[in-house]
Amino acid sequence: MTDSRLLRIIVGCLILLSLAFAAPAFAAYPEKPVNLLIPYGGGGTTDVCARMLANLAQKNFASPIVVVNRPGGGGVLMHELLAQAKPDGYTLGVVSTGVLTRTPFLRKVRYDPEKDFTYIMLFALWQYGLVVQKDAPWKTLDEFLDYAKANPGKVTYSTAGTGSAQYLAMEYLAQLKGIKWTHIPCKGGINAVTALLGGHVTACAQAVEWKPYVESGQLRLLAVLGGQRIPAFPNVKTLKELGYDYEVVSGPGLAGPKGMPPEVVAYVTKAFTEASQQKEFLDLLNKLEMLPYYLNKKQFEDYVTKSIPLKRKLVNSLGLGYESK
Amino acid sequence: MDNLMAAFDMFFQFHVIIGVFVGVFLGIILGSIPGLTATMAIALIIPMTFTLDPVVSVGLLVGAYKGGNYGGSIPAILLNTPGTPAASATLLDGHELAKQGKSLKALKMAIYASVMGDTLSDMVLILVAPPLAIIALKMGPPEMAALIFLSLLIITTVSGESMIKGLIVGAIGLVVGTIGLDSVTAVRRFGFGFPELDEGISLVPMLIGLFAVSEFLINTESVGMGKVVQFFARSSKPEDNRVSGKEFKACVPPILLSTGIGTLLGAIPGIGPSIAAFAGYAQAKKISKHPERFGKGALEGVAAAESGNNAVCGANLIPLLTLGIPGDIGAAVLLGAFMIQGLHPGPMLFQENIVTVYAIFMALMLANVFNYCIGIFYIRFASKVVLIPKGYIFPAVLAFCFFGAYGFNQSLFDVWIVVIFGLLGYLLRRNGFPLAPLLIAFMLEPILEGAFRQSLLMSGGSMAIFFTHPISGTFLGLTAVGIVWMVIGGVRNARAKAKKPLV
Amino acid sequence: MVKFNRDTIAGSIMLVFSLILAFIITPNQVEMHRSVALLALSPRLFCYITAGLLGLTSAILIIASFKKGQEADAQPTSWEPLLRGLFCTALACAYAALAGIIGFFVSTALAMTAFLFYFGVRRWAGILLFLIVVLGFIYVLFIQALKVVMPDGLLY
Repeated sequence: MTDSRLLRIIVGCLILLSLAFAAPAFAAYPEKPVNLLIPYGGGGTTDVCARMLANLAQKNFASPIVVVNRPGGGGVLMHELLAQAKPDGYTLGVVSTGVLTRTPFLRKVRYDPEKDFTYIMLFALWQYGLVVQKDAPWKTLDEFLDYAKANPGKVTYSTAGTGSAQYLAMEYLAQLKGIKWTHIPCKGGINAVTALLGGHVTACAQAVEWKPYVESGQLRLLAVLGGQRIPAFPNVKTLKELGYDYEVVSGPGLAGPKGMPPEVVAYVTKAFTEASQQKEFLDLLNKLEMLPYYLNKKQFEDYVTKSIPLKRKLVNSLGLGYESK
Repeated sequence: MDNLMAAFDMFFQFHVIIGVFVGVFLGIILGSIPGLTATMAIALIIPMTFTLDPVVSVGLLVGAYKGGNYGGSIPAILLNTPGTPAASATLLDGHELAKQGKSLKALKMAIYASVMGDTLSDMVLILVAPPLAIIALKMGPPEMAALIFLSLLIITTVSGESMIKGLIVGAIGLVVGTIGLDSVTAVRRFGFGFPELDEGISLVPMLIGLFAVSEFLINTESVGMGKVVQFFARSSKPEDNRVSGKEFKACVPPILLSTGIGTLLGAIPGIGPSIAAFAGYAQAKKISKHPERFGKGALEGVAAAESGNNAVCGANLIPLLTLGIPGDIGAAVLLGAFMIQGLHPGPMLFQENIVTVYAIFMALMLANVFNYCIGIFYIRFASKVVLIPKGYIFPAVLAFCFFGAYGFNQSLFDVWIVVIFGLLGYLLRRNGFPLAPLLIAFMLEPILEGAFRQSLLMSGGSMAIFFTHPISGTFLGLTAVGIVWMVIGGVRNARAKAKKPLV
Repeated sequence: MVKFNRDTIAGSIMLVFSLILAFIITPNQVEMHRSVALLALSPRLFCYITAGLLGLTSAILIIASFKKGQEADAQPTSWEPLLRGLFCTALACAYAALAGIIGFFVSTALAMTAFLFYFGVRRWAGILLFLIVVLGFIYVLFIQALKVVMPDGLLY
């Protein structure tokens, strides 16, 4: 084959390719693929459950939903991108209540949780608990807290990091009771549980990474930090039931940038709400040890506006907030 | 025995075998393209595994994990560009061999060593996983800090000609490691206004820049405008294209040693295959009769590095299956896959799902067989890459590096990381600085810092905690011995040089 | 004029950098924590340690390079290869910058053409074939198989 013939074939191919990318005609929403941003990397629980949700919502969605991982800054990056996106409904994001209501007081971020988002729904909760080793002398939360109060500086506890929801809960208890204990931040929840299993810390406050060990009897669950009891351990009381006015509400939700047209919001809400009620999705949540929990647009907005002042006060009173420096 | 039979039934199905085959195949291909890694493939295969049954999907993913870990060695040897972080130790000697025309010999040794390391460490996993899980539990913060301290000694072995230059580059690696949110107080460090930096510099883009782009830039120097340059020629002598029995025998001790190190480090979460490869390499150099040949094309060096990094694959599953702790990014993604399948790694897994676990073990062994078969076939084809003129290869490598860096987090910021570290790596190499210490120090810094400060938190600020804990004390003792040994060796070398008449 | 050894220059650059790191960058870019009493908790601890190590090792390199003195660097160093390398770095920067403006595929095509030309490939058919193979492979792998979403550019 000569060079010029090869060239003609190649040019022909290029023209065909460019035709393939030509833009489609205009129509009502959704007329082009919708990007669903995920604040964490591929393969994590948030990623997995958001992808499943998108898969199910696709059935009621006229254009493809493209799941895009935008990890960075512990989720902050995606929230910033979402806040700055065009409110045309083609950019949606899986938001995390923690990044919305806690992180803005811990670090400087470029979004305002009260002004920058159109909330659509909250679709699940993570479950948190306080665990100790099986041969520990404390059978209840109160015994543990009394011991910690009587022995200042002796008790250590691990969590997945400073500023996490479970860490704030523990420091809330400490403030309330006048306890002095030492927090050991670990890299990741499983490492925090392992630190307890290996006997390197006294207790561990973490999401359900401890579940297999509580079931096998190696660890003891003292209290549930969330608002509802954990189905697998119906006898363990929540903080509220034990008389402490605190609950950890933390989960993934769906939101878009501020100012989305109401008909677009309605379309998205319908597709995703139906998806979140399907058995396949609920089964997956169960496998991932997450609690099915639904807040609609109004309830989600209320939750955000209500918990922001509370979190700000707590974070600043612990001396963690960048505002308090 | 009933369990074994049931497991065999579960495993010996057409779609399981195909799943493992496809996984290994994809892993090797993606691992062997600079800029793409197996972790990326695993993360993106996961959504496809929603509907598959557990043994198929885990076989697929474990196959990709193992294949990718091996595949990285191919471009490391041929193009001096590691395909995955774990192959960074392989290029020290692998590419030197290729320059001597012995690329096929190096590629074959890499397969033998990878498959041996992998198989041996899988056997350890299968036979003694639950007892070995104790290692992961015993490693508290002080033990971890001391172990990392000991591991930093590896830098001195891979520094090449100038120890001090190696140490400087190691210090740069430590500095780069401090970027990102502080692990203890969650305070932002060196953010410069970029939230992308909060989680630190990503390993993959940094590696791509440091090794692949710097290699690209080095090559742009030697190209005269308008002149097509070929790669090194492959030797036509048959003995340069195969591994002789004698050579293989010489490589067995380093392989065994390196597999042992890789298995132990793999059982401790957080260290990862790259450090294991360097540690195996360093020890192989120490036991070698010709340590001076290391870095100049020692076949033992390739063998040690490859068996070290692949031994981590099997061993990484020990903490993953018994405790649910992922040892590296690849394993973390695997953990997610287990969860989707409703398999909860941890103490109950071996009791409740023993049949599935056995079937997964069988899939692991099959993955090793496929790794060998596909690898042996693939290198024949891959080694032809060097027949294409450099002028075509390097631009393509650059494009893959940019796309690979972008694709991992879908972030243009990571592309800039590639460019910046490419320039840094280029300038360092031009002035005779080795790059491996930077990578090692960068990977170890966050673990060292986290563990060190956690320990001081636990002890209330007293350094005594590192000496009173027996395991950490032992590690620190070994570190001290290593340093003393090194200093004595250095002094002896200097004296020997001084005695020689100056020419 | 005194002719400096290359190691001396490299060591000096690193030494200066470590001083800037310790005295300017760290205090500005790492916040202190109000509740910190313990040394172990200070986020700046390791920043100072690592900067110190870098400074120390660089100083040793400078001293060693003086000891080696004049015997090294006998052969004159040519600037030309370095300039070529830096030119290509600039090209790579342009590639990365354009990727965000005009789209990843278009900028890749432009950058590849430039580099192929630089590496001495002059047959246009060769360049086109290369672009189709490389871009086609990347398209199939990243867009079709891995579902990577490319940045919005003016062109695709």
